[in-house]
Amino acid sequence: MTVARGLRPAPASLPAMEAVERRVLPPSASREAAGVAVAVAAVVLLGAVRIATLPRAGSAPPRTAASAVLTAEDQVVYQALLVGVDAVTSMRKKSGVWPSAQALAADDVPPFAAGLLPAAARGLAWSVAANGTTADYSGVDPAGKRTAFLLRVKERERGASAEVWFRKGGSTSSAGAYPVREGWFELVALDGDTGPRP
Amino acid sequence: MRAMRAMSALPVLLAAVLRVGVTLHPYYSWTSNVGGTAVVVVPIVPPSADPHSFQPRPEDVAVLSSLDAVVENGLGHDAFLEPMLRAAGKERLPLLLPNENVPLLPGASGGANSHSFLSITASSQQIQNLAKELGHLDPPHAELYTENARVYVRRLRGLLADALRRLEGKDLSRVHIATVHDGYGYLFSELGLRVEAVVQARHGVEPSARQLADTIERIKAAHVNLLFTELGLDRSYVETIEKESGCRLRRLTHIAGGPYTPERFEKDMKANLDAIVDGVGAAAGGS
Repeated sequence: MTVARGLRPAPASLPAMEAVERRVLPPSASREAAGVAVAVAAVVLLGAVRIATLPRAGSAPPRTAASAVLTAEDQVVYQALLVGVDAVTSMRKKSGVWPSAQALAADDVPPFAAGLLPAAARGLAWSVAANGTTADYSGVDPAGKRTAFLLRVKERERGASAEVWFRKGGSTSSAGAYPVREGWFELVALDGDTGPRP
Repeated sequence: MRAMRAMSALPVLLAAVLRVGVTLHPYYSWTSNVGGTAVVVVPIVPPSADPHSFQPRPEDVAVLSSLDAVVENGLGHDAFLEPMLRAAGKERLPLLLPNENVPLLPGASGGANSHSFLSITASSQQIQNLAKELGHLDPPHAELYTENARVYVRRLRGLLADALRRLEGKDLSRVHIATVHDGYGYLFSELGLRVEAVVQARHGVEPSARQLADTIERIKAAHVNLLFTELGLDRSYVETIEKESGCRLRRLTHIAGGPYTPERFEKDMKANLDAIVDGVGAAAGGS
């Protein structure tokens, strides 16, 4: 008989097996209840976290990418507004008051100065409604046909922040305090990007 | 990831002068004008090289070691930068991203059109972004950067205003424009001009004889009467298009290659605006 190296041959007879006694305790009602409670708590916690991170229809404004929804001339107005924020905050800092649309036009700041826009992008009437640390610059077509714009500038402890809103199909009146309720949309520079920076 | 690195551009302990690298010619002009005497601007691409085909040499990588920050297009126009930073062990070098939050046009080959510097308005926004980024890096000079940016943007705005004024009253319905590069879309857009065809979407790639013939057919079919080519493009290629299609030809510059100077961006953009106004005037007037 060939025996593999390192293995011992089995003995000729095996000893009789001994019965093994093991006590199985009945389940503990209190331990089971605790386990169920932990599982329920985990499910409730995970659910709460998920709900807390869901977008809230009532608070988050609808945001949309400029390049996807604006015509070429409206994109020019939008970009001019983004650049114009700097002039607005600079004049505010120097004079202590929010500059009027006329003052911005006189300082050659587009889109308030129509001469710095291509002809197709002109025609909006600009006005400002200031309330303490916030100023709303609204551009509307008196005929209510062109896309209406709102530049909202908010003074911060350091610098300022700005939002640009629009309403396609036009509006003859400026947006109120809550543009989203009146059918306005906030613009972002590009899909997935944030709005204008302070 | 790039945004996180840009956000990590916290104030740094600086020598008297900030050393800022730039990947493209316009960024050299912008940073020089915004930074003034507080910034030394260091080109990463040698003047003789084209950023579209740039292959960094060891000495180009070595330049990165002395920088406090670098201005990056970040939209694919300077894709050579990231490998250079890795090679130099400068992965944590603060990136200044002027294109952050700039409304971008779609590119011909997908993604965003990376030529946002070929526009007065988009450049103005980027210059303001750059001033803010520099101010974050170097707070003692933040006011200086903001004021310099304001003066510079105002000067650039004057170029645009002048071009728009000269386009006033032109019958644009008679003008049908094509370009040899989609990067000029930003510039035509801010002038209220529509580009009806781009006959060479990819920079530096010239068509075969068959593609050239197709291009001429497309120009004719779109009734293009004004074609904008690029300085430095093979003359025989554009002259063939001009001859066969019968459209007028004007040349634009991409602001790439050649000397780095603070005035370069203004000078080249003025040349571009002049070429457009002149071409549109001729096409609209039928002269």
